[in-house]
Formats: sequence, structure tokens, C-alpha cells
Amino acid sequence: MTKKYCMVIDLKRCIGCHTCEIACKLENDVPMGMYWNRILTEGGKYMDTPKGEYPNVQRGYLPLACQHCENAPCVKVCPVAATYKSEDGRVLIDYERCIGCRYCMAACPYSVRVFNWQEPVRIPDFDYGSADTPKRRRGVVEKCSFCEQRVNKGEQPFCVEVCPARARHFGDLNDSTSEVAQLVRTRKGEQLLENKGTKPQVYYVR
Amino acid sequence: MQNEKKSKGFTISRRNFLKGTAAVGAAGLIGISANNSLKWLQPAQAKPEVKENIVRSICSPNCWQTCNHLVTVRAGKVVKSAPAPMPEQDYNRICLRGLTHLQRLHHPERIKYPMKRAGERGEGKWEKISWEEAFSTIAEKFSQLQEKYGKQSIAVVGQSGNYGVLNGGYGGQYRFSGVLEAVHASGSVDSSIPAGFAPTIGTGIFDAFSNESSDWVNARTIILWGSSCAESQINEWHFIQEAKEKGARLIVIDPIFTATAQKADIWVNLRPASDTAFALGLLREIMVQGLVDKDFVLHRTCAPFLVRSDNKQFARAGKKPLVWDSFSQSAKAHDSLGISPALEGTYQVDGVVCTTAYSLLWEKVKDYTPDKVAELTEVPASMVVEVAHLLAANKPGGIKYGFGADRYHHANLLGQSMATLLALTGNIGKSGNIVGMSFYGFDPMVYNTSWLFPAGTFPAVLPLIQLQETIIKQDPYPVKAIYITCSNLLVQTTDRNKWLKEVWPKLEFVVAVDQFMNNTMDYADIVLPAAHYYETEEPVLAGDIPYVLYRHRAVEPLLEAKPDWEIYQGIAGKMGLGKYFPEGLQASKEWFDMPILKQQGITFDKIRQEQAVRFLPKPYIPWQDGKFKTESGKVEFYLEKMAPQGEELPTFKWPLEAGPDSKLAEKYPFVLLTRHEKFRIHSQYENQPWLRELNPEPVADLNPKDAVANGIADGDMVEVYNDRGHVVLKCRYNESIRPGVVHIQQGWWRYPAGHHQELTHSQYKDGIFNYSFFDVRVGLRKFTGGELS
Repeated sequence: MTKKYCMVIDLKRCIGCHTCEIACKLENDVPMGMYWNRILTEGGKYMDTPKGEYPNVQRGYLPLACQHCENAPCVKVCPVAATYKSEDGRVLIDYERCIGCRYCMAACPYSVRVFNWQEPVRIPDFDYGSADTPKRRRGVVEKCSFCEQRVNKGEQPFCVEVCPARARHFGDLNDSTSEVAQLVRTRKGEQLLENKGTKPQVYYVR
Repeated sequence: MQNEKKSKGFTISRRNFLKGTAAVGAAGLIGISANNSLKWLQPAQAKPEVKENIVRSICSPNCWQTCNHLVTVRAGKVVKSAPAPMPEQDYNRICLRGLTHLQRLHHPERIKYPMKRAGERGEGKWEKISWEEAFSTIAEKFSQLQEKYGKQSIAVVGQSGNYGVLNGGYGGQYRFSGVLEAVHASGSVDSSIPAGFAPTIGTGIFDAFSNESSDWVNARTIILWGSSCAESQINEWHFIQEAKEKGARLIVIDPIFTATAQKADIWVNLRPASDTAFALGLLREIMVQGLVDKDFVLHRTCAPFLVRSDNKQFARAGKKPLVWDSFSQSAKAHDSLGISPALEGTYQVDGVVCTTAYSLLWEKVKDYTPDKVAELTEVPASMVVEVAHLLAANKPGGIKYGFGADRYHHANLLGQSMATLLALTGNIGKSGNIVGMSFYGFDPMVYNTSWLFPAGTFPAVLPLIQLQETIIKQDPYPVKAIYITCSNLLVQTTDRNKWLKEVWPKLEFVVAVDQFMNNTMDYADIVLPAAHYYETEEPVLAGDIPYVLYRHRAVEPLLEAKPDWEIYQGIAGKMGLGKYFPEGLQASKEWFDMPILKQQGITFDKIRQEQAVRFLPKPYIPWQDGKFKTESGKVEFYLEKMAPQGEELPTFKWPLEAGPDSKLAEKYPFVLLTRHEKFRIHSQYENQPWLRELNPEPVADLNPKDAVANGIADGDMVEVYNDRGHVVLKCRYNESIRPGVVHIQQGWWRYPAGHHQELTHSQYKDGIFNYSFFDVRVGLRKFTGGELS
């Protein structure tokens, strides 16, 4: 059976520390002001603030990146086939083909794609992360690729490797013995905006 | 996949295309410039091989997690940090801060070269000088001052910015000040809880007295007391989470709803500074409900020891404390064979009325009923009962303290209460126990005294909190010059206005070493650029992992930066003391030459090769034999030495300012809490661009109810003030914050006006040299303009 790469994020474990977010910027050479992976606070108006009234307060964290949808709206609207669905389940972008029309951004119900409005600004001002991270330029859309450069070599996405809370898991959903398959099965993995029919391959367990 | 998708055309379907191009070579490709729109139609090019070097280094600020990093260097530049594999995977670690090191190392604002002040102090005018000139100037000035005023006219001021042995706060710095016979102003600024906790088991305040964190997964009840471990010590968190997944109950005691409190089964949101009242409530409940582990208490603690009513010391035969033997109805040495010590009661011994320590403890706690505790702490009485039952009956368990509850006057009494709780419940010495905190760095590794003091001369050790008064009064040392390293002194110590207005004018010469022009550097006469962790090679103190560590150099120091050790070499060399500062590798080798490491076969060569070598038994669970390092060998929750102050047993006292009884309460209704959040470690990482994107500016977090009552809208600029100073910053409504509290994240370098350290005070408790950073009252008003100063 072909692979179906999948990520499972354990919200019970997530402490909203942003380590995955910074790791993603580092590994993938993401410029200043852009994020492939964000940690949303489920609570108050600002980061880390809760909802409710002290002391009856509640807060949660939602790490949000590309959902690698099986039924990906971004792939359908891309007029130049720059965004495509690879056979192993990942939604990837051919940055060379991208014409920057941003239809995919409009189509994505998760708002996880970002656009290079300007020449990328980096501090420090050189390419960081893995040497084989695909390069982007001004005028293209970019997003989480499940760290394609690492996964292609059999490694885990960097956010999974570094997560201090061990909240992130990655693997092949089609392999019923894999950790991700078991987690989705036993802990009833939930998908974001299931009603949209996009069939994300990022699952959340709580 | 990347290589397969370069040359596809519009007319070919994705599936067919992929099938048809599966044979394309496997080498990765770099993107092709799109200047020429046809370029993407060109065949793929093989990517030139990139030369990379991966070096194992260590991140070692004072979160004491000492994460081992794999550092990728490409074309002479650090391009990536990743967790290095440890012998035990559980300890593989990195955090959001550690991932930003390339930004710190290659930061555009790094100090480029040594500089001397060109204008007035604090004016910001600097002139480049050579290292040669810097060394000569410092050596000359130091020599002149020492000749004129004595050796102790120089103070080396060091804090915890680096756990490296040569370049950090614990090795080279001591050696430098010892060789110079200078004053060494240092020591922990968070030492109050440990000062009450550690003597009960007889250890030093930063010794290896707790189970290692990988054993915490076996706990069934975990109390995190004033610790937002999920933010400040992120890499210890997963052990607690794993314990929870195995069924442990987590209790978090914190006035603020932190990311850690969010994960708790019970969040004890008590009033600031009321922690000890809560602890006494727990003690009472455990005693009154018969939840005490009697066997442990009778045989492993001082509970049955007889205390003389006349002098509050243990009744003794020779050196041995006496207990009341129920068989013979007489006082016997506590370790006599065949006795049955009485736990409670008052007895006559040689004409002196004596009472057991346990009975005296009961006298101290008996009034702290759940209802009274509820009144003092403002948490429900049922919470006292529930937490007490969990700790005492759902065992094993433990208490991990952070330093949130440490930063008040009298916090030593909380430390003593925590140790008493662990002793009464018999939790100590068992798997699944947490005894305060796990910290292994200083015991025994730092104590290679012949290495620290090679000249046979020593520094005059001065607790950092006494430095202000020492300089102002020029007593007990005539300090005229300070040398600051591994410390952002003016951000991490209290009463900033006193530093600037009273201390600095007394100083003839200030040298400061750092990577960035932070607040402390602003007021130096000479600034020296320090090397980054990755630019040095040295042994590193381990912190919370039971390993001896060694850091390799990933890159040579950038710009003109130098490791601290080389700076000591330069200055000492000019003062004719160069022989005490050999080349770094040699110095590291000599440091390892100590019995405690030799016995375990940990040699310099081995550590340099392996970089992380375990030096404690696995799993590390101290006190299993029930023998403690006190004089009696038992847990002495009754501290005889504290009897003159009436603090021999856990006692509750409101602190100087933060309590409701404070005279300042009316004038300054808010308690200021400046806690550690995830974006910094003390003031380190403050200017890291990625972290600043997430956390761009300092804010005063206020409970909206308080804000509204004071006419402050969300986002308004506010002035937080008291008699000592002020700070101006933006207000943020935040329901995590307890009403009556203003919260400002600590570690910010600069504000629109003032600084949060203008608000704090330098009062400390006799014999406990702790900064009471949270024991501070402030007022609050909307900032309506006027001159920002």
C-alpha cells in the first residue's frame, strides 16, 4: 500500500511553548514575519490569555500548519499546478511554478499559506536550516511541507523531533501498526473543520 | 519528490507525470531563479554538494536544563541548532530559545570590538579600542586601585549567564577573583526556599537532593509550587506529563493561571505570599487525619526528638539527641537499640521539661484549620483538605518548587514547610518522589578547590544582594571598581535607582563583558565583547541532568569577541599573574583532575570524546537508605539553629510588602509579580528577533476588573509606580491574573520610561541573601503623557 503521511498533535500535551514554531522557521529558512506553523491560543484576545473570569478560566493551544488535506482545495484552484498532492499524501508546492496568484490562499480554509510580498528578510541575513530546504523567492506562496527535505530522507519533520512536550507524532496512516494510526484510532483523532470535506491529514487528539 | 517535479508541463496529468519521471536521479535540487520565466521548463540540475560541519555543543543559561545541541556550521556560519542525542533519549532536548542561537551568534547588534566610554556614563558614546589597550587599561587601573585602597577595592560581579566552567559564573570567575584577591560578589539570587529546605536534609542549597526528573514519571501526586515548569523549564515538563498519563494527579500552586496551571488537576490560585499558610494547613490536615507515615516519621525524622523548653535545643546525651522510650519510660539516645520512641508528649528529662518535636509542630499548625487557611490564602477550604489527602495518601509523590514562591521575605519558612510535608508523608527516598528540585551541577563538580584557587589566595565572597550597601558605605570592602560578567546586573537585581544614583557615583571604574549593549553595558567605562556558547570549548555544569558535560567549539569567536577565559588571561597576564591562566584546553584538563570524577573513570579524554557522561547512579534516587546528611542522620524539620528567631519550626508570617497587613497596602494596592515566561531566561534572549516577533514588547498584565476600576482601557499606556521608582508600559487585559496583582514579564531590558527593577527593593532576611523580587507593592495609573524619563 502507498504511504499516507500524517501528523497527530496531542493537545493534552501541548503547552503552547512555540518550540515547533521556531523550529519550523529555522529548518525551513522561513523569513521574518512569516510562519508556516503557528500556535493559536484558544482563550482570550491575546496570546496566552484565557477565556472566562478569574479564577474560572480556560485556555488551550492549537498548533496550526498546513493540514495536508486529502481533498485539498488549494490543489484544485491552482491554475498552474504548482500546488500538488504527492502520492504519499503530502500537499507540496513547486515554487518554480508558482505564479503568486494566491488563489490557493483564498481557497485554504485554514489560512496556513503565506505569501512573499517582498524579498525575504532574514536575520541573520543568510539561508539557515537544512541545506536542501527548497528555496523560495519573492512572489511565491509557501507553507508547511511536513519538512519534505527531511521526510524524503526518512527523518521526522523537525517540529516533531524537537517538541519538548513530545506532543507531535508523524508517520504513515496507512500502516495500521504505526504510532499515528494507533493514536488516531484509540484516541479518536479529530480533524479541523471536518464539515468542509477537505479531509485533513493532520489529526488532533485530546 | 522535489527532484521529480521540476520539468513537468501543463498538459501532463500529475499522476502520469509522476509515473513517467520516477527514474529521475535522486539528488536534491535547489530552486532555480525565476528571472527567466522559461527557466522552470529547463531540465533539473544536480545540486552542488554542500559542505557542512556538525558540532556537538551546549546551551547553558540559567534555566539549568543545559541542553546538548547539534550545531550545523555551513560556510563558517551557524545555520542550525538541533537536540543532540543523549545516552538516554528522555534527556534529548531543546526549546524555543535554544533554537534561536544562530540569531544570537550572528546578531547584527553584537558588540563588535572592545570599547571605552567617550562621553558621560550612560550617554551612549563609545570609542573603539584594541584588546591590547583594553587589557592594559584594566590591568593598570586594577593595580593602581589595589595599591591605593587594598586588594578588595576590586569586585568581580558574576551571575548565572553561563554554566560553562571556564567562561561561566562558577569556575573561571572564582579563579580570576581569587588570584586577584578581589571581592567576588555572586551567589544565587533565589535562595530563600532552599535555605529552609536543604538544612532539613542536611545538604547544600544546590546539591543533588532530588530524584532525577526521569523518575518523576513514577509519581502519583505531584505538587508544582510556584513553578511554571512548562514555560521556564520546558524540558522537565514531559516527565510530569508522562506521570499524569500514568494516572498521577497534578497540583499547581500559583496565583497566576500559567500554562502549567492550565494542565493541573487542582490549581491552587492563592493570594501572593500566603503560600506558607497553605503549607501549614496541609500539615495540620495530614496530622489531624492520621495520614502521617508513622514508621518514617519515627525512624527517619527528628519527630520524636525531645526539645528542651528552656533553650529550644534538642535534649542530648553527648552529641546524640534524646527520645522518650515508651518501654523503659526514660530518655534514650535516638539511635539506641530496642527502644520504642514516643512520637508525642511532654516529659521531664534531668529536671527539664522536654516535648517531642512532633508535638511542638502540632502546636505550631493546630490553628491552621482549613477555614482559617481559606481566609488567609483566599482559596476554598476544601482545597486544603483535598491537596493534603493526595500528598499523604496517593503516594509516592513529591513537591517540585520553582522560585515563584521564593521571592518573598520569609520564604525560607515555606521551604522548611515543604520539607516537613515530604517528611511527614514519608515520601522522601522512594521512586516517584520529587524533593524540591533536581539539580546536580554544583555537587560535587564545582568544588575542585585547588583548581579554583591555584595561587592559594582567595576572593572575599560577598552575597550579591550586599553589593549595593557595600559600595555605598565602602564597608566592609572599599570597592572602587567592578568587573561584571555573565550578568545583566541592572536588569536582574533590585532597586535600579539605587544602583545608578548611589552606587555608580562611588565607582571609579566599571568593566562589563557581554555580547550585547544591554542596560548594564550602558553604564560601563569599558565594554568587552564576549564569545557565545558555541564559540567556546569547556566543561559545563550539568544543572538538572545527571551528566558531566563538555562543550565543543562550533565556530571561532566572531568579530573581535573573546571567551571570558581569554579575557582573564589577558588582564591577569598584564598584572603579572598570567601563570594562573593556562591555555583553555589545559585548564579544562586540570579541572577534571578531581577524585570524585576519577573514581568513576570520567577522564578528560573520555568526556571530550563523549561529551555527556553519566556520573550519578541510574535511576538516581537519593535517600533510599534513610540516612540524611544532618548531624543525627535524620530529617531535621526542627531547625535548632533557627530557634533564636522563633523559626525552628514552620511558621507563617506575611512578608515585608506583599501581605494584606502591609502599611503600604492602602497607598499601593497592587502586588507586582515579575515572573519568568517562555520567551527569555532571565534577561537572555531578550533581543532575539524570532522571539520578539511572538512577544514584541513589555506589557503590564492586569485583571480587567482592576483595570476598569482604575479607568484603564485595554491597550492604554500605564505607569506602575511606588516610592522607589516607576515604569511606563502598555496595559494588557488578562484573565490569568489574580485581581490585586500587576504582572510584568521579567527580563525586559528597556521600557518607554523607567524600569520594573526601579520598583523592587534590596531588603533581605538575616543570613538569607535572597532578593524578594515579588515582595513589592505598587500603584497604577493611566499614563497621560508628560516627559518620559
